[in-house]
Amino acid sequence: MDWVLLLLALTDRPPILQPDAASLSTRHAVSREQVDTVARQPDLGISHSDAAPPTLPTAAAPNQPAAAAVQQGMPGMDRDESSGMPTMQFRGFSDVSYHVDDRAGTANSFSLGQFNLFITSKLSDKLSVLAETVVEADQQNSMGIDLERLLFRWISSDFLTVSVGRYHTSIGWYNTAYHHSAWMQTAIGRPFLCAFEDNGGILPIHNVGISATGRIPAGDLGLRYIVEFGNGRASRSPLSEAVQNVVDENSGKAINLAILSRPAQLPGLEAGFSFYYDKLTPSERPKVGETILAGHVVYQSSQFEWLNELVVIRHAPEGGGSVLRSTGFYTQVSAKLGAWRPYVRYQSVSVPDADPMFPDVGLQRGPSLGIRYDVTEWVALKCQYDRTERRRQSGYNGVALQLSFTF
Amino acid sequence: MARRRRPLLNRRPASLRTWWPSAAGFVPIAASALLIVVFGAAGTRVARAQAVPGDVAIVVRPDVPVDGLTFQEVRELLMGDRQFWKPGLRVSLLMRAPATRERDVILKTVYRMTESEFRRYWIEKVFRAEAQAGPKIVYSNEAATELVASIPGAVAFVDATQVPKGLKVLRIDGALPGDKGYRLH
Repeated sequence: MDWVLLLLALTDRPPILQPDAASLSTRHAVSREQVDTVARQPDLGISHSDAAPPTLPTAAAPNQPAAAAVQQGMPGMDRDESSGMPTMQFRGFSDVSYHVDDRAGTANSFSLGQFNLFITSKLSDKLSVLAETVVEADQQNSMGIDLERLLFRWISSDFLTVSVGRYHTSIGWYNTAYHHSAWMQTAIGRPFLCAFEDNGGILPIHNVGISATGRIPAGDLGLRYIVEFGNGRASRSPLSEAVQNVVDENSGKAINLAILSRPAQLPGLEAGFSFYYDKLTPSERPKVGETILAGHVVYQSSQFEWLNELVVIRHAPEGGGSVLRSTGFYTQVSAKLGAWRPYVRYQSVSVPDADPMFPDVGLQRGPSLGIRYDVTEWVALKCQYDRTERRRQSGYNGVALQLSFTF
Repeated sequence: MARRRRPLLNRRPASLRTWWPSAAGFVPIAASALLIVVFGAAGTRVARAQAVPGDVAIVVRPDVPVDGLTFQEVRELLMGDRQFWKPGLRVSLLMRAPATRERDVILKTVYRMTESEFRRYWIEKVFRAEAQAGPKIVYSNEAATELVASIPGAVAFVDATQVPKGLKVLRIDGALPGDKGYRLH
């Protein structure tokens, strides 16, 4: 376990970036942008109360009324004092894994996970930009860069936020909870159901378009709505890039409507339902109406986690033909025991063999058992066993180890 | 067991609920307008906390259109689930630095999280695009109240004995610091 101790030693230093890493000390009136300026300084995130309070840049004139000082500035502008430009906040996520399974022809391997640079920039109180850029290797070991999310956001109020760009479709829960961070997830990987498109996933995980979200005034039910309108997924050829980043195959757009509840009386509980519709246009075949219904009930507290999702995908060819239904679900339970978090997951994805959209998926189901150990606040070690059953093929067993971290 | 009395929020001259765009919201809006007219300074009344060591006061500028919150609304504010006092007036959370008593009280009573869980919560909140940023840290009660006075929409959680004149202390479930039943201590 020497290497664990080494990791502990290396990561014992307090992290530089913290979500609330601003420190303020002034006797003068200051504006919001000055607060944000201090918050940006990377050496101020040390979480010790006895750290020397930094001094602010020159604030408003001492005898100037505070409100006037704020109004004369650009309220909410998170900008660099010297250049006047908006600044960026960075956070990174990544992981390294080792995995082995007993399928014929597979070799045990070390694997680089996704190197994720998450960037946010606040342009004003109501405008911001968010980006998630991932560098990763494919199955041919070639490295590539993907812009997984890029959102320009207008936050009007608690009841309306509008975003344009590339987003994670709000189908179910997992997809918009963890995005591309292995560190945030309890388990090593995503459920089959929520696998990314380039890993054989059956959901349109990413989309390019416009979305709106906000609270619904419904008291303690904690209701929120989400409306998404985008290009949908590519279907012309199985070899097509799944996400239609620049050009849509057809003029019809995919629409997704979701509603979710976070009851005030039960903190940590979320239940939601979504409806997704798109028209697929595969080449040399009739158009296909794609409907995706998804529901989830999840409970997460610091000590306990129970995740449940169910998805039904319906493919209906135009002009007749049999309607094909694919289903997928998973349930995952974990409990925190100090720095350890054992977990168990059972998952299933079943796609009809006749479904031309997912020719290689078939049936995949089975349990996973694992344990997560938080080496420090920002580093996690995970070990997971998976048993996977397949249709008309022998099942297989796999074991994986993963070191995941944020920085 | 006696039924818990409904918080007074809905009956206050100006409250967070008042700004909800629901049909039912017009009743408290009308009531608020009437009370403001009748009592004049009701909208800018500054509630002064009793000097009770140990209580943590929620402090805002007098122009924040809220006089009191339910405990649940305090939680929603601190969790980043409610980010506007009213359209155009954004909430800015100011938190004391780690290892200070005020912060410990807020983490224990409102967030119900450890320091580590709190940090992780805000990383995830921003990552999920549910918030632009987490709370800002302030290193003293004095700095906190000065910033509250300077930044529209700012709210701080400070020692109730160190609230200067000119700032508004919000009631929680109808109680001010020092009152029986006040929960932030």
